[in-house]
Amino acid sequence: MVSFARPTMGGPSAYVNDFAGVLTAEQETTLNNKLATFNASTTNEIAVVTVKSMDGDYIEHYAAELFKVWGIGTKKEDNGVLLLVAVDDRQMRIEVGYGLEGTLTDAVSAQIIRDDLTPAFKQGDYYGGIDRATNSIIGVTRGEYKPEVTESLIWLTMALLVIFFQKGFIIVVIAIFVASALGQSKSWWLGGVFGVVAGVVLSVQNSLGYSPESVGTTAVLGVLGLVFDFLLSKSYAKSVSAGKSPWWSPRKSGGGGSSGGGSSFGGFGGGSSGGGGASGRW
Amino acid sequence: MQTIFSRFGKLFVVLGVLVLVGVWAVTSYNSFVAMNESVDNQWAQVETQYQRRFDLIPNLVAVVEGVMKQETAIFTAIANARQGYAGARTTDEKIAAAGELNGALSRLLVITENYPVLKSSENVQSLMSQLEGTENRISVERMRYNDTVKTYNIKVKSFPGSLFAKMFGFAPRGTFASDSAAATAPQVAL
Repeated sequence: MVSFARPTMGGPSAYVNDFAGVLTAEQETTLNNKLATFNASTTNEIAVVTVKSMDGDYIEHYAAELFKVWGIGTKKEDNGVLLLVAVDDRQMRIEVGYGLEGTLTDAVSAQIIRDDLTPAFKQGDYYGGIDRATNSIIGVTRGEYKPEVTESLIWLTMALLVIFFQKGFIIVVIAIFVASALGQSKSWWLGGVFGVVAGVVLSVQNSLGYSPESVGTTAVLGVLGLVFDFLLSKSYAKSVSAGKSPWWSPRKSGGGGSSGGGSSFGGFGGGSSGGGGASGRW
Repeated sequence: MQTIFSRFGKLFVVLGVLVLVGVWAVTSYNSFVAMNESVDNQWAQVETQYQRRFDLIPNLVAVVEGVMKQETAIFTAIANARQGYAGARTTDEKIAAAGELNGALSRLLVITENYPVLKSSENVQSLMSQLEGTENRISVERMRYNDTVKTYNIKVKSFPGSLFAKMFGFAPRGTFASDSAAATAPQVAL
Protein backbone atom coordinates (compact mmCIF):
# COMPACT_ATOMS: atom_id res chain seq x y z
CA MET A 1 0.00 0.00 0.00
CA VAL A 2 1.58 3.26 -1.12
CA SER A 3 1.15 6.30 1.07
CA PHE A 4 1.46 9.73 -0.43
CA ALA A 5 3.53 11.65 2.06
CA ARG A 6 3.46 15.41 2.29
CA PRO A 7 6.98 16.84 2.73
CA THR A 8 6.90 17.87 6.37
CA MET A 9 10.22 19.59 6.89
CA GLY A 10 8.96 23.16 6.78
CA GLY A 11 10.62 25.84 4.70
CA PRO A 12 14.10 25.94 3.16
CA SER A 13 16.87 27.41 5.33
CA ALA A 14 19.41 27.71 2.51
CA TYR A 15 20.11 26.33 -0.95
CA VAL A 16 21.43 23.14 0.67
CA ASN A 17 19.11 21.39 3.12
CA ASP A 18 20.74 18.30 4.54
CA PHE A 19 17.89 16.74 6.51
CA ALA A 20 19.49 13.30 6.33
CA GLY A 21 22.72 14.55 7.89
CA VAL A 22 25.07 13.09 5.28
CA LEU A 23 27.14 16.25 4.77
CA THR A 24 29.54 17.91 7.19
CA ALA A 25 28.97 21.55 8.12
CA GLU A 26 31.98 22.56 6.04
CA GLN A 27 30.75 20.69 2.96
CA GLU A 28 27.33 22.25 3.37
CA THR A 29 28.78 25.76 3.52
CA THR A 30 30.99 25.28 0.48
CA LEU A 31 28.11 23.87 -1.52
CA ASN A 32 25.80 26.62 -0.35
CA ASN A 33 28.24 29.34 -1.36
CA LYS A 34 28.64 27.81 -4.78
CA LEU A 35 24.89 27.75 -5.34
CA ALA A 36 24.40 31.24 -3.91
CA THR A 37 27.08 32.65 -6.21
CA PHE A 38 25.49 30.92 -9.18
CA ASN A 39 22.14 32.40 -8.21
CA ALA A 40 23.61 35.88 -7.91
CA SER A 41 25.03 35.77 -11.41
CA THR A 42 22.19 34.04 -13.23
CA THR A 43 19.05 34.15 -10.97
CA ASN A 44 18.79 30.36 -11.42
CA GLU A 45 17.89 28.62 -8.16
CA ILE A 46 19.37 25.19 -7.46
CA ALA A 47 18.11 23.50 -4.30
CA VAL A 48 19.81 20.43 -2.83
CA VAL A 49 17.73 18.41 -0.36
CA THR A 50 18.61 15.16 1.36
CA VAL A 51 16.02 13.25 3.37
CA LYS A 52 16.29 10.03 5.29
CA SER A 53 13.17 8.41 3.92
CA MET A 54 10.07 9.26 1.94
CA ASP A 55 7.87 6.90 3.96
CA GLY A 56 6.72 4.86 1.00
CA ASP A 57 5.99 7.72 -1.38
CA TYR A 58 7.16 7.73 -5.01
CA ILE A 59 10.15 10.01 -5.47
CA GLU A 60 8.48 11.67 -8.45
CA HIS A 61 5.51 12.64 -6.33
CA TYR A 62 7.63 13.66 -3.34
CA ALA A 63 9.91 15.84 -5.44
CA ALA A 64 6.98 17.44 -7.27
CA GLU A 65 5.26 18.30 -3.99
CA LEU A 66 8.43 19.71 -2.44
CA PHE A 67 9.18 21.74 -5.56
CA LYS A 68 5.67 23.16 -5.52
CA VAL A 69 5.59 23.97 -1.80
CA TRP A 70 9.01 25.65 -1.81
CA GLY A 71 8.48 27.36 -5.15
CA ILE A 72 12.02 26.90 -6.45
CA GLY A 73 13.01 29.29 -9.22
CA THR A 74 11.86 32.85 -9.89
CA LYS A 75 8.18 33.35 -10.52
CA LYS A 76 8.80 35.00 -13.85
CA GLU A 77 11.29 32.56 -15.37
CA ASP A 78 10.54 29.30 -13.47
CA ASN A 79 14.29 28.68 -13.50
CA GLY A 80 14.61 26.28 -10.57
CA VAL A 81 16.18 22.85 -10.09
CA LEU A 82 15.67 20.47 -7.18
CA LEU A 83 18.24 17.75 -6.49
CA LEU A 84 16.56 15.38 -4.07
CA VAL A 85 18.33 12.44 -2.41
CA ALA A 86 16.38 9.95 -0.30
CA VAL A 87 19.20 8.22 1.54
CA ASP A 88 17.50 5.23 3.14
CA ASP A 89 15.34 4.60 0.07
CA ARG A 90 18.46 4.84 -2.12
CA GLN A 91 16.68 6.97 -4.71
CA MET A 92 17.43 10.36 -6.19
CA ARG A 93 15.67 12.73 -8.51
CA ILE A 94 16.50 15.90 -10.40
CA GLU A 95 13.31 17.93 -10.82
CA VAL A 96 13.61 20.71 -13.40
CA GLY A 97 11.52 23.89 -13.57
CA TYR A 98 9.76 24.89 -16.79
CA GLY A 99 12.29 27.58 -17.60
CA LEU A 100 15.34 25.29 -17.61
CA GLU A 101 13.86 22.33 -19.47
CA GLY A 102 15.44 23.60 -22.66
CA THR A 103 19.03 22.90 -21.58
CA LEU A 104 18.63 20.67 -18.53
CA THR A 105 16.59 18.16 -20.51
CA ASP A 106 15.34 14.84 -19.22
CA ALA A 107 18.15 13.09 -21.05
CA VAL A 108 20.82 15.34 -19.53
CA SER A 109 19.31 14.91 -16.06
CA ALA A 110 19.37 11.15 -16.49
CA GLN A 111 22.97 11.35 -17.61
CA ILE A 112 23.93 13.43 -14.57
CA ILE A 113 22.28 10.85 -12.36
CA ARG A 114 24.05 8.01 -14.14
CA ASP A 115 27.52 9.53 -14.35
CA ASP A 116 27.82 11.95 -11.41
CA LEU A 117 25.56 10.62 -8.69
CA THR A 118 25.21 6.85 -8.96
CA PRO A 119 28.88 5.83 -8.86
CA ALA A 120 29.62 8.18 -5.93
CA PHE A 121 26.52 7.22 -3.97
CA LYS A 122 27.33 3.53 -4.41
CA GLN A 123 30.53 4.29 -2.49
CA GLY A 124 28.70 6.31 0.13
CA ASP A 125 30.37 9.52 -1.09
CA TYR A 126 27.36 11.81 -0.90
CA TYR A 127 29.27 15.06 -1.00
CA GLY A 128 31.37 14.01 -3.99
CA GLY A 129 28.34 12.98 -5.99
CA ILE A 130 26.31 16.06 -5.15
CA ASP A 131 29.30 18.32 -5.81
CA ARG A 132 29.87 16.87 -9.27
CA ALA A 133 26.17 16.87 -10.09
CA THR A 134 25.73 20.52 -9.12
CA ASN A 135 28.76 21.44 -11.22
CA SER A 136 27.18 19.69 -14.19
CA ILE A 137 23.86 21.39 -13.62
CA ILE A 138 25.57 24.77 -13.32
CA GLY A 139 27.54 24.15 -16.50
CA VAL A 140 24.44 23.23 -18.45
CA THR A 141 22.17 26.01 -17.23
CA ARG A 142 24.68 28.82 -17.03
CA GLY A 143 23.92 30.36 -20.38
CA GLU A 144 20.15 30.31 -20.09
CA TYR A 145 19.45 33.71 -18.62
CA LYS A 146 21.99 36.35 -19.54
CA PRO A 147 22.26 39.76 -17.90
CA GLU A 148 20.48 42.26 -20.03
CA VAL A 149 22.07 44.62 -22.54
CA THR A 150 21.48 47.55 -20.21
CA GLU A 151 24.29 46.33 -17.99
CA SER A 152 26.83 46.54 -20.82
CA LEU A 153 25.54 49.93 -21.85
CA ILE A 154 26.14 51.23 -18.35
CA TRP A 155 29.76 50.15 -18.63
CA LEU A 156 30.01 51.88 -22.00
CA THR A 157 28.58 55.10 -20.70
CA MET A 158 30.89 55.08 -17.71
CA ALA A 159 33.82 54.54 -20.07
CA LEU A 160 32.71 57.50 -22.16
CA LEU A 161 32.50 59.65 -19.05
CA VAL A 162 36.04 58.69 -18.09
CA ILE A 163 37.28 59.52 -21.58
CA PHE A 164 35.60 62.90 -21.44
CA PHE A 165 36.79 63.69 -17.97
CA GLN A 166 40.44 62.92 -18.51
CA LYS A 167 41.07 64.56 -15.18
CA GLY A 168 40.80 61.22 -13.50
CA PHE A 169 38.94 58.66 -11.46
CA ILE A 170 37.74 61.06 -8.81
CA ILE A 171 35.15 62.15 -11.31
CA VAL A 172 34.10 58.57 -11.93
CA VAL A 173 33.75 57.89 -8.21
CA ILE A 174 31.62 61.01 -7.81
CA ALA A 175 29.65 59.86 -10.83
CA ILE A 176 28.97 56.50 -9.22
CA PHE A 177 27.64 58.09 -6.06
CA VAL A 178 25.51 60.46 -8.03
CA ALA A 179 24.38 57.49 -10.05
CA SER A 180 22.97 55.77 -6.99
CA ALA A 181 20.91 58.81 -6.27
CA LEU A 182 19.85 59.15 -9.89
CA GLY A 183 19.09 55.51 -10.40
CA GLN A 184 16.83 55.13 -7.45
CA SER A 185 14.32 57.50 -8.91
CA LYS A 186 12.21 56.28 -11.76
CA SER A 187 12.50 59.47 -13.77
CA TRP A 188 15.59 60.18 -15.80
CA TRP A 189 15.54 63.87 -16.57
CA LEU A 190 17.69 64.53 -13.51
CA GLY A 191 20.63 62.93 -15.23
CA GLY A 192 20.22 65.27 -18.14
CA VAL A 193 20.15 68.26 -15.82
CA PHE A 194 23.28 67.06 -14.10
CA GLY A 195 25.00 66.56 -17.44
CA VAL A 196 24.18 70.09 -18.55
CA VAL A 197 25.34 71.54 -15.24
CA ALA A 198 28.59 69.57 -15.48
CA GLY A 199 29.08 70.87 -18.99
CA VAL A 200 28.60 74.48 -17.90
CA VAL A 201 30.95 74.03 -14.95
CA LEU A 202 33.59 72.50 -17.22
CA SER A 203 33.31 75.31 -19.73
CA VAL A 204 33.62 77.96 -17.06
CA GLN A 205 36.55 76.12 -15.50
CA ASN A 206 38.39 75.92 -18.78
CA SER A 207 37.56 79.52 -19.55
CA LEU A 208 35.81 78.56 -22.72
CA GLY A 209 33.13 81.14 -22.38
CA TYR A 210 30.22 81.00 -24.73
CA SER A 211 31.69 79.17 -27.71
CA PRO A 212 30.94 76.16 -29.94
CA GLU A 213 33.18 74.02 -27.73
CA SER A 214 31.37 74.84 -24.54
CA VAL A 215 27.92 74.47 -26.09
CA GLY A 216 28.96 71.20 -27.68
CA THR A 217 30.41 69.82 -24.46
CA THR A 218 27.34 70.84 -22.50
CA ALA A 219 25.01 69.28 -25.04
CA VAL A 220 26.93 66.01 -25.19
CA LEU A 221 27.16 65.78 -21.43
CA GLY A 222 23.48 66.56 -21.12
CA VAL A 223 22.56 63.73 -23.48
CA LEU A 224 25.01 61.35 -21.81
CA GLY A 225 23.50 62.24 -18.45
CA LEU A 226 20.00 61.52 -19.70
CA VAL A 227 20.99 58.17 -21.18
CA PHE A 228 22.97 57.24 -18.10
CA ASP A 229 20.13 57.98 -15.74
CA PHE A 230 17.67 56.13 -17.95
CA LEU A 231 19.81 53.00 -17.96
CA LEU A 232 20.43 53.21 -14.24
CA SER A 233 16.76 53.59 -13.44
CA LYS A 234 15.90 50.61 -15.60
CA SER A 235 18.64 48.49 -14.08
CA TYR A 236 17.63 49.46 -10.56
CA ALA A 237 13.98 48.69 -11.19
CA LYS A 238 14.93 45.31 -12.61
CA SER A 239 17.16 44.49 -9.65
CA VAL A 240 14.51 45.50 -7.17
CA SER A 241 11.95 43.28 -8.85
CA ALA A 242 14.42 40.39 -8.67
CA GLY A 243 14.89 41.08 -4.99
CA LYS A 244 18.52 42.22 -5.07
CA SER A 245 20.42 45.47 -5.03
CA PRO A 246 22.25 46.35 -8.29
CA TRP A 247 26.00 45.83 -8.53
CA TRP A 248 26.76 49.49 -9.02
CA SER A 249 25.08 50.75 -5.86
CA PRO A 250 27.60 51.32 -3.07
CA ARG A 251 24.98 51.65 -0.36
CA LYS A 252 23.84 48.07 0.02
CA SER A 253 26.66 45.75 -0.89
CA GLY A 254 24.79 42.55 -1.56
CA GLY A 255 27.92 40.70 -2.63
CA GLY A 256 29.31 40.42 0.88
CA GLY A 257 26.41 38.46 2.26
CA SER A 258 27.19 35.15 0.63
CA SER A 259 30.44 34.40 2.42
CA GLY A 260 29.88 32.66 5.72
CA GLY A 261 26.86 34.58 6.98
CA GLY A 262 24.03 32.37 5.74
CA SER A 263 21.65 35.01 6.95
CA SER A 264 21.12 36.40 3.49
CA PHE A 265 18.97 33.52 2.19
CA GLY A 266 15.49 34.85 1.67
CA GLY A 267 13.67 31.82 0.35
CA PHE A 268 12.95 30.77 -3.18
CA GLY A 269 11.21 32.81 -5.83
CA GLY A 270 7.93 30.97 -6.36
CA GLY A 271 8.73 29.13 -9.58
CA SER A 272 7.06 25.95 -10.74
CA SER A 273 7.89 22.73 -12.54
CA GLY A 274 5.95 20.53 -14.92
CA GLY A 275 7.45 17.21 -13.93
CA GLY A 276 10.56 17.37 -16.10
CA GLY A 277 13.86 15.81 -15.05
CA ALA A 278 14.89 12.27 -14.21
CA SER A 279 14.98 9.79 -11.35
CA GLY A 280 17.39 7.07 -10.42
CA ARG A 281 18.33 4.60 -7.74
CA TRP A 282 21.59 3.20 -6.53
CA MET B 1 -54.05 58.73 1.97
CA GLN B 2 -51.99 55.89 0.56
CA THR B 3 -48.32 56.26 -0.27
CA ILE B 4 -46.90 54.64 -3.35
CA PHE B 5 -45.09 52.18 -1.17
CA SER B 6 -48.13 50.91 0.64
CA ARG B 7 -49.98 50.47 -2.64
CA PHE B 8 -47.20 48.78 -4.53
CA GLY B 9 -45.32 47.48 -1.48
CA LYS B 10 -45.74 43.86 -2.29
CA LEU B 11 -44.74 44.49 -5.88
CA PHE B 12 -41.53 46.20 -4.81
CA VAL B 13 -40.60 43.32 -2.57
CA VAL B 14 -41.18 40.80 -5.31
CA LEU B 15 -39.21 42.92 -7.77
CA GLY B 16 -36.39 43.28 -5.27
CA VAL B 17 -36.17 39.56 -4.76
CA LEU B 18 -36.19 38.95 -8.50
CA VAL B 19 -33.34 41.42 -9.01
CA LEU B 20 -31.31 39.77 -6.29
CA VAL B 21 -31.85 36.33 -7.73
CA GLY B 22 -30.97 37.66 -11.16
CA VAL B 23 -27.67 39.08 -9.93
CA TRP B 24 -26.92 35.85 -8.14
CA ALA B 25 -27.64 33.86 -11.29
CA VAL B 26 -25.33 36.01 -13.35
CA THR B 27 -22.42 35.75 -10.92
CA SER B 28 -22.93 32.02 -10.64
CA TYR B 29 -22.98 31.65 -14.40
CA ASN B 30 -19.77 33.63 -14.76
CA SER B 31 -17.96 31.58 -12.17
CA PHE B 32 -19.09 28.36 -13.84
CA VAL B 33 -17.78 29.65 -17.14
CA ALA B 34 -14.44 30.59 -15.60
CA MET B 35 -14.05 27.22 -13.90
CA ASN B 36 -15.05 25.37 -17.01
CA GLU B 37 -12.39 27.23 -18.95
CA SER B 38 -9.78 26.27 -16.36
CA VAL B 39 -10.72 22.63 -16.76
CA ASP B 40 -10.50 22.88 -20.56
CA ASN B 41 -7.18 24.65 -20.30
CA GLN B 42 -5.77 21.99 -18.03
CA TRP B 43 -7.03 19.30 -20.40
CA ALA B 44 -5.12 21.04 -23.17
CA GLN B 45 -1.98 20.69 -21.03
CA VAL B 46 -2.58 16.97 -20.71
CA GLU B 47 -3.04 16.67 -24.44
CA THR B 48 0.19 18.52 -25.06
CA GLN B 49 2.09 15.88 -23.11
CA TYR B 50 0.23 13.06 -24.89
CA GLN B 51 1.31 14.64 -28.13
CA ARG B 52 4.89 14.87 -26.94
CA ARG B 53 4.93 11.13 -26.20
CA PHE B 54 3.29 10.46 -29.53
CA ASP B 55 6.07 12.34 -31.28
CA LEU B 56 8.90 10.70 -29.32
CA ILE B 57 7.89 7.10 -29.95
CA PRO B 58 8.95 6.83 -33.62
CA ASN B 59 12.49 7.82 -32.61
CA LEU B 60 12.72 5.01 -30.10
CA VAL B 61 11.20 2.54 -32.53
CA ALA B 62 13.68 3.53 -35.24
CA VAL B 63 16.62 2.90 -32.94
CA VAL B 64 15.51 -0.47 -31.54
CA GLU B 65 13.86 -1.93 -34.62
CA GLY B 66 17.17 -2.85 -36.18
CA VAL B 67 18.22 -4.94 -33.19
CA MET B 68 14.83 -6.35 -32.25
CA LYS B 69 14.03 -7.55 -35.72
CA GLN B 70 11.92 -10.54 -34.75
CA GLU B 71 9.61 -8.67 -32.40
CA THR B 72 7.23 -7.76 -35.21
CA ALA B 73 4.10 -8.13 -33.11
CA ILE B 74 4.99 -5.32 -30.73
CA PHE B 75 5.92 -2.89 -33.51
CA THR B 76 2.64 -3.58 -35.25
CA ALA B 77 0.82 -2.96 -31.99
CA ILE B 78 2.60 0.35 -31.55
CA ALA B 79 1.90 1.45 -35.11
CA ASN B 80 -1.78 0.65 -34.68
CA ALA B 81 -1.97 2.41 -31.34
CA ARG B 82 -0.35 5.53 -32.82
CA GLN B 83 -2.80 5.51 -35.67
CA GLY B 84 -5.60 5.15 -33.17
CA TYR B 85 -4.41 8.21 -31.27
CA ALA B 86 -3.98 10.29 -34.41
CA GLY B 87 -7.54 9.45 -35.45
CA ALA B 88 -9.18 10.15 -32.09
CA ARG B 89 -11.41 13.20 -32.07
CA THR B 90 -13.43 13.48 -28.88
CA THR B 91 -11.86 13.72 -25.44
CA ASP B 92 -13.00 10.25 -24.43
CA GLU B 93 -11.64 8.75 -27.63
CA LYS B 94 -8.33 10.48 -27.01
CA ILE B 95 -8.09 9.20 -23.45
CA ALA B 96 -8.82 5.66 -24.59
CA ALA B 97 -6.34 5.87 -27.46
CA ALA B 98 -3.66 7.32 -25.17
CA GLY B 99 -4.23 4.40 -22.85
CA GLU B 100 -3.74 1.92 -25.70
CA LEU B 101 -0.55 3.66 -26.75
CA ASN B 102 0.70 3.61 -23.18
CA GLY B 103 0.10 -0.11 -22.98
CA ALA B 104 1.91 -0.84 -26.23
CA LEU B 105 4.82 1.36 -25.21
CA SER B 106 5.18 -0.31 -21.81
CA ARG B 107 5.34 -3.69 -23.52
CA LEU B 108 8.09 -2.41 -25.78
CA LEU B 109 10.06 -1.05 -22.85
CA VAL B 110 9.79 -4.35 -20.98
CA ILE B 111 10.93 -6.31 -24.02
CA THR B 112 13.89 -3.96 -24.47
CA GLU B 113 15.12 -5.16 -21.08
CA ASN B 114 16.00 -8.48 -22.74
CA TYR B 115 18.50 -6.85 -25.07
CA PRO B 116 21.58 -5.79 -23.10
CA VAL B 117 23.09 -4.28 -26.23
CA LEU B 118 20.21 -1.86 -26.42
CA LYS B 119 20.20 -1.11 -22.73
CA SER B 120 23.76 0.13 -22.84
CA SER B 121 23.37 2.14 -26.05
CA GLU B 122 23.53 5.86 -25.34
CA ASN B 123 20.88 6.62 -27.94
CA VAL B 124 18.45 4.24 -26.35
CA GLN B 125 19.22 5.52 -22.88
CA SER B 126 18.63 9.08 -23.96
CA LEU B 127 15.34 8.20 -25.65
CA MET B 128 14.21 6.14 -22.70
CA SER B 129 14.85 9.01 -20.33
CA GLN B 130 12.94 11.35 -22.62
CA LEU B 131 10.01 8.95 -22.63
CA GLU B 132 10.17 8.52 -18.86
CA GLY B 133 10.25 12.28 -18.47
CA THR B 134 7.21 12.58 -20.71
CA GLU B 135 5.36 9.92 -18.75
CA ASN B 136 6.06 11.87 -15.59
CA ARG B 137 4.85 15.07 -17.18
CA ILE B 138 1.68 13.29 -18.24
CA SER B 139 1.00 12.19 -14.69
CA VAL B 140 1.69 15.68 -13.32
CA GLU B 141 -0.69 17.28 -15.79
CA ARG B 142 -3.32 14.62 -15.14
CA MET B 143 -3.02 15.23 -11.43
CA ARG B 144 -3.51 18.94 -11.98
CA TYR B 145 -6.45 18.17 -14.25
CA ASN B 146 -8.05 16.09 -11.53
CA ASP B 147 -7.53 18.89 -9.02
CA THR B 148 -9.11 21.42 -11.36
CA VAL B 149 -12.05 19.14 -12.07
CA LYS B 150 -12.55 18.59 -8.36
CA THR B 151 -12.83 22.34 -7.73
CA TYR B 152 -15.25 22.65 -10.64
CA ASN B 153 -17.37 19.73 -9.48
CA ILE B 154 -17.64 21.09 -5.97
CA LYS B 155 -18.90 24.37 -7.36
CA VAL B 156 -21.37 22.69 -9.66
CA LYS B 157 -22.68 20.18 -7.16
CA SER B 158 -22.96 22.38 -4.06
CA PHE B 159 -26.35 23.74 -3.13
CA PRO B 160 -27.71 26.22 -4.18
CA GLY B 161 -25.24 26.64 -7.03
CA SER B 162 -26.35 23.27 -8.36
CA LEU B 163 -29.74 24.71 -9.28
CA PHE B 164 -28.16 27.35 -11.49
CA ALA B 165 -25.71 24.83 -12.89
CA LYS B 166 -28.52 22.59 -14.08
CA MET B 167 -30.34 25.55 -15.51
CA PHE B 168 -27.32 26.74 -17.49
CA GLY B 169 -26.20 23.29 -18.51
CA PHE B 170 -22.98 22.88 -16.52
CA ALA B 171 -22.65 19.22 -15.69
CA PRO B 172 -20.08 17.64 -13.37
CA ARG B 173 -17.03 16.38 -15.30
CA GLY B 174 -15.11 13.17 -14.97
CA THR B 175 -11.63 12.80 -13.55
CA PHE B 176 -8.89 10.54 -14.86
CA ALA B 177 -9.24 6.98 -13.71
CA SER B 178 -6.20 4.81 -14.23
CA ASP B 179 -6.15 3.07 -17.60
CA SER B 180 -7.48 -0.46 -17.44
CA ALA B 181 -4.26 -1.54 -19.10
CA ALA B 182 -2.25 -0.15 -16.19
CA ALA B 183 -3.89 -2.54 -13.77
CA THR B 184 -2.30 -5.56 -15.44
CA ALA B 185 1.49 -5.54 -15.67
CA PRO B 186 2.76 -6.22 -19.18
CA GLN B 187 3.85 -9.82 -19.64
CA VAL B 188 7.09 -10.64 -21.37
CA ALA B 189 6.84 -13.56 -23.77
CA LEU B 190 10.04 -15.59 -23.45
